[in-house]
Amino acid sequence: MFKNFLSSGNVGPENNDESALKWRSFLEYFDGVIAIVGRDRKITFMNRVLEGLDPLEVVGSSPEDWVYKHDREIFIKNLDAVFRDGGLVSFEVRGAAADKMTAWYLVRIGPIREGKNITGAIIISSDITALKQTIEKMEDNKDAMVNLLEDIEKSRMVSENAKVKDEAIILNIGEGLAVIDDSGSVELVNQRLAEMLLSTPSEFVDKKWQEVLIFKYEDNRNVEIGKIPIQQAYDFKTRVTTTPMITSSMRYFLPRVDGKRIPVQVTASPIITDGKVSQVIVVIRDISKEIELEKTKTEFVSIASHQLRTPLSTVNWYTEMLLSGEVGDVNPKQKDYLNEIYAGNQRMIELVNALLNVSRLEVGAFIVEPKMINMKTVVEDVINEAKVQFNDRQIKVETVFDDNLPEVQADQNLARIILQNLITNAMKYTGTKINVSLSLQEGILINQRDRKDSSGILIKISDDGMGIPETQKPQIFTKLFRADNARMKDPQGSGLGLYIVKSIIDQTGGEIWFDSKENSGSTFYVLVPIKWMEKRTGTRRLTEE
Amino acid sequence: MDIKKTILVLEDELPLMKAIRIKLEAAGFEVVTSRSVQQALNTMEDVEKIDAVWTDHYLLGNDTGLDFVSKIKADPRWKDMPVFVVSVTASPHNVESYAALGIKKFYTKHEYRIDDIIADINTKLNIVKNG
Repeated sequence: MFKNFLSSGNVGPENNDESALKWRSFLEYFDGVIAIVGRDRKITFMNRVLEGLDPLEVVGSSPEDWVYKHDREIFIKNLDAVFRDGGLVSFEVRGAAADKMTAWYLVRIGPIREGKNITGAIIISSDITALKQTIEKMEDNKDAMVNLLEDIEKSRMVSENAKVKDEAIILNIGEGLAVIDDSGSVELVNQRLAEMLLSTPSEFVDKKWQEVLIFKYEDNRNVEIGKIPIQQAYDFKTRVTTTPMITSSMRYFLPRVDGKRIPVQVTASPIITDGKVSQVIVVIRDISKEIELEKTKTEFVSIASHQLRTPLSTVNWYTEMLLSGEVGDVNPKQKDYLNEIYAGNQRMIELVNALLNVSRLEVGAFIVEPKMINMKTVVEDVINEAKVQFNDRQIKVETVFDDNLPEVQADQNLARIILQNLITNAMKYTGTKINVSLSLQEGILINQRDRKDSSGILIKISDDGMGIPETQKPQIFTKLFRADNARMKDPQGSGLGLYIVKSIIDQTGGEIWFDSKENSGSTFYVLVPIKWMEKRTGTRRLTEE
Repeated sequence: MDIKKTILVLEDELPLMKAIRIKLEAAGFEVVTSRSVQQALNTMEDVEKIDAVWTDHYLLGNDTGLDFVSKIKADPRWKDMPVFVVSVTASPHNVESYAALGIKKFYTKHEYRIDDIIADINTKLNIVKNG
């Protein structure tokens, strides 16, 4: 930045004595700028000069010419002060050459006296740019540091709040909760879970979950470890839950300290870090109330089924007695009216039956008693009964049965309800003919509740009737729903048939779907596995409409 | 003239009881009725000859038709008495319990006409209707 000005020998007094040489060396090696000004404020000497400048330009110039324009005022004030007061000043200014800022200088100015008179001043400047920058950087760093600390503090507060909130949630939540670590040890148990089992959280913490959460079946056998959602969460790395409404023999219980046990629903969710289960969060819900409610509902169903049918039976029998003419002749018009009463009453009985079926389906309280049945026989029986029901209409019924149909493991009653609903619907809404076919399907997968079967029987029921309007197709299996055209044709349907069919299939396994085009007909497909239904003990049997 | 056969009818619902009585009498039976199990047992003791029993399942009081049937079947005097269970609902459990006592057929009121049941009673009691 500076070049040696003295060695150029152009400026300054020539003096060759020894002390002058020493001074010259000092000035040469001094890492700063030293200038001398006279009272006229002109530079008479300078040890260095800014690079690229003519040394001759410097001598005779004003020192403030080399100060950045915004700092000149400070410089002049300080120089004036020295001339006026004779003291030493020290300040910082920015240097400049051709109006461009060059560097920061720490400037000191002191007077040169001759006797009592101040004849000039000596100006010593050192480049403090690097120092300044370091300080600035440090300031910046300090700011950044402060910001960082503030951020950390803020996020600490946030996570502290979140933690407090989480803890409050965990402690106060109505469900029992446990956190289990990757080794299977219980990390945390909330108060609710401990209370549920009449224990305290410390009884669980740091113990293996298998030792403190012993799940039992209703008959007091221990639930196999592999069937417990907690283990399954580790095994399958996915959230596993037990269904609350499962039949009593499948229900899980947890023993309490006092020896009693409570029915529970268990949900286990794995927390997966780097592909491994690092923790499992277990939520345990006491489902005693739900079970109580389920029982009440089932009892209601059974009471309602008795109470509702008793008066219906009375109407039935008395209408029958009047119609038989045993209490006097009935004229044709009276007979017609009595027949209407009888038919209406029959419809009411059917409706009560259908509603009771729905109720049983919804609480899962229906009995499944599977045996090997011949679906062909069931279909033929149902068709024969339906033909009697629709004998006033000339409906052509075609049947196609595969020769090699195996027997199916199913509850005959439930299979009949499904076929009876679908075949009666086809006859009700058909034009002139229906077609029912049964075919063996091999090498296909059928959705079952817990498994996939690879062969089954496809039941296909087609009619050439009114079909289902496109916009109403999505609702066709909805409870109490009836398509507009079906309501026009037969105002008396309950809207429960297909709902019941779908519910039975959903609960026992198999699939149902349909194709339909308005005004040209519908085809319903039911695909069931050969090993269709599993035994299920319930409280009531479903009844046919 | 044939001696009329006597049927004991257990039914708690009066309108239904009345209908059953009318139909049975029209079919040529003597009819005695009870609305509870205790009353029916008393009748069994008092009336000299009862040929068959028609019983509902739910009756007045806590005892059911099942209690009644198990009592008479346990009594040597009545163990072969033909019993017709006619109820509003047929729960599988009840159907099985009656079957265990030898009652093979279970009639539900909304599925069977009274005439159908009377026809079965006639068959059981070997009564051949004239005309």
